[in-house]
Amino acid sequence: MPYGPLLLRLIPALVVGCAAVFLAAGASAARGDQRLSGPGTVCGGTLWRLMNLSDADRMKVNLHPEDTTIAAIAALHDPRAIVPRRTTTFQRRVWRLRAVVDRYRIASNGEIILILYSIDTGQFMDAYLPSTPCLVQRARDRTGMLAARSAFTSRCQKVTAAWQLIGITVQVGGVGYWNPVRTTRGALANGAELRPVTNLKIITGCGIGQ
Amino acid sequence: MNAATAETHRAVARHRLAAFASSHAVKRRVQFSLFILLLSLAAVLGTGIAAAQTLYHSAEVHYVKFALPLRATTLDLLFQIEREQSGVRGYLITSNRKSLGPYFKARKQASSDLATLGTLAHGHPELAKPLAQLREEVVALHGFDDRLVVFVADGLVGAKQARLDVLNGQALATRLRNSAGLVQTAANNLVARTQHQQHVNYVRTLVTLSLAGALALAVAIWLLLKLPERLRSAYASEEEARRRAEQGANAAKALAHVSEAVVLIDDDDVVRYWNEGAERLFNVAANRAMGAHVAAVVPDYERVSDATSRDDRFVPITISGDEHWVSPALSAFEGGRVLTVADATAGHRLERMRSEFVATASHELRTPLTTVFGGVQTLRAHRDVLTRGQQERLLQMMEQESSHLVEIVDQLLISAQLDRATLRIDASDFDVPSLCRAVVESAQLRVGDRNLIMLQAPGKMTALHSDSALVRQIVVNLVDNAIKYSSRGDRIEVLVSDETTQVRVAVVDEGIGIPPSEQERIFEKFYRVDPEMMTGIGGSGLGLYISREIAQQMGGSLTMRSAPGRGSTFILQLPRDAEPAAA
Repeated sequence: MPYGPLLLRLIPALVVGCAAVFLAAGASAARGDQRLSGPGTVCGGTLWRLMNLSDADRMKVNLHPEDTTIAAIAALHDPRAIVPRRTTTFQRRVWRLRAVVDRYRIASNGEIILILYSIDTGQFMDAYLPSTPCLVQRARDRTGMLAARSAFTSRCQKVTAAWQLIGITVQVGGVGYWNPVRTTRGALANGAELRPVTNLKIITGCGIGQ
Repeated sequence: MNAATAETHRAVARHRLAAFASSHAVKRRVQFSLFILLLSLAAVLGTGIAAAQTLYHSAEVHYVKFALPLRATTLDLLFQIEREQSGVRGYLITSNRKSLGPYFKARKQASSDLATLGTLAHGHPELAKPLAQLREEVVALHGFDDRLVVFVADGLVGAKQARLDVLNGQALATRLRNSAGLVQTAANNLVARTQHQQHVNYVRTLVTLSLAGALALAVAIWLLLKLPERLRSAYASEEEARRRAEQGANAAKALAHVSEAVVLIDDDDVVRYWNEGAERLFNVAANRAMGAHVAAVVPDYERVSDATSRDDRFVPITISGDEHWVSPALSAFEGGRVLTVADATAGHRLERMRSEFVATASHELRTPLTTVFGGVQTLRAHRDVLTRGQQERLLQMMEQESSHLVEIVDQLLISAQLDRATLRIDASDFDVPSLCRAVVESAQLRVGDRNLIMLQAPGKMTALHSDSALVRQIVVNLVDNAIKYSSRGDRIEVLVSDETTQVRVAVVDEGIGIPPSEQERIFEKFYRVDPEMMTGIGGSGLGLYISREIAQQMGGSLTMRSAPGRGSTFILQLPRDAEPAAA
């Protein structure tokens, strides 16, 4: 069977099919929160409780923030094995730093990813505002996490699945998290992230201080 | 010091107190004036210092420490912002982080400038709002610059977006400059108000200094004009008080040592001064007499007062039961009078004795003179009819009376010599018993058998070196006195004893004797035991006086012992080799 006429007949169908798939994926991303059926691995795989501060060691976390910098976090040594427990000091404390949010987007699990940038050192790192449906009742400082997300979403442009340039200066605090996946845009080489973000204050940008 | 002197001293003290009070008042006025002067000067000094300090502080605070730094810092902030933007723009062009070097330095310096501005604006509420606005603009511009930097760092898309946004930064920079201008304007307004306040302070200071200076000047002029005169016046008052006090003290001292009683009496007859002489005379203490009515403290005051008006020389008054003769004098002056009373008892007695002497002497002289005169007349008228024996008795009688007259006159002469201290003692050796024997025999011849006069003397006795005539005069006087005051039949003895250092002659009679109260007075001049001559015993009243005086001038003594009705014994003691007593 010659392939030419077949491809010609299939092309519209492929375009329509791809379009349908693309639209379905876009719609899914846009309504990610609503599409989650409930908290679980869908919120972040096996480490999802660490991501939402509802893990077994959540009570070991010192919520009193300690000031630091992206350079200081980037200098930390990542653990040999990343397990769903808080095995490092970095994981048992809320770290606070001042940085510029370069870009942001919403992930498939509903988290909002903020790419932080240090003008002083030119380093990027990621911080995550947790997804609301994934914040179970046992999560510590749930109110703070919800407030941080609200502080961002209520003032800045609508979050999309695509990266958006923003350039706002913020003071952001979050629990230390080692991400085994280090290919995400803005990720530090050691996989250190602020996840979840427990407080966020916009210094300038999104209509504040301008 | 008696109370009168004390009162005088108190008066002096009152004068001094008044002078002191006057000088003290002057002193207090001067002190007050000097205090005001010092206060004014202190006010001038304090105001001057405070004004200078205020002006300096104001200038220091508002110019050196505030306005100039504020202006400079604001300008530096604008400059740093420009540097920031230059750095960002360079980074936009080159995308090389090294281009951000000026950006980082300027941003750090801008933060420092903002902190400095915050410090400078502290305490100035009017700067708070523009400074807050400036700070917001700076933050906004920083945020904008951060945005550009992070976009460039993000990659090509971000760099493109940054270049598109760069013009928006111009608006922010303009707003920032405007805000900086507002801060500058607020600062300038503050400085202008400060200048105004400084001007007000200056005017106030000037007025205060002028007023205080004028006050100080007025006080100083017042002191210059008044103080010397007041000091001179106070000194003169003090000097006058001192002079009066000295006069008063001297007067009091003089009056205290006056022998007469001096009494100061005011118009109400109240004693105001009573000297020591008055205390002695009237036997009344000054503290009791002062303030009392004069009649209560001066005995027989009415009589004394009357005597002064009649110029009586002697006035008898009774003091403590004894009669005193006083010689008063009264001097009146405005407000009172001074009574001076001299005790003239002795003088009065002497005067009385003189009177008695005149009477006695007249009687004593007239009796023999009458006898001599009568004898002479009888002889002249009846010489032819008188027998020779009768004539002889008349002549003998005239001779005796003449001799008596000579004795009286001799006594008067000796008395006068004693009074004038011109009695001459011609000493020679003589035998005392012989002298006494002659006197006794002579006296026995005169008295006949009326009295027996006996002499007891040593058979042999060392001659006495003295004036025999004067010794004889003494013995004669003693024997004559014994005869006068002895009754018929009384025995009179003259006892001579020779002792080692003296010769003793005692004349003992059995006469009427002498009362103890008069035993010492009989040696006084013109004193007579019987001044009224009631007993008919004559005498000049000089015999014993002359005898004691002669004995004493020859270095001896004449004493007596007697009892009324039991006779008297007069003892003459004459020393051997005695120097005559000084006249």
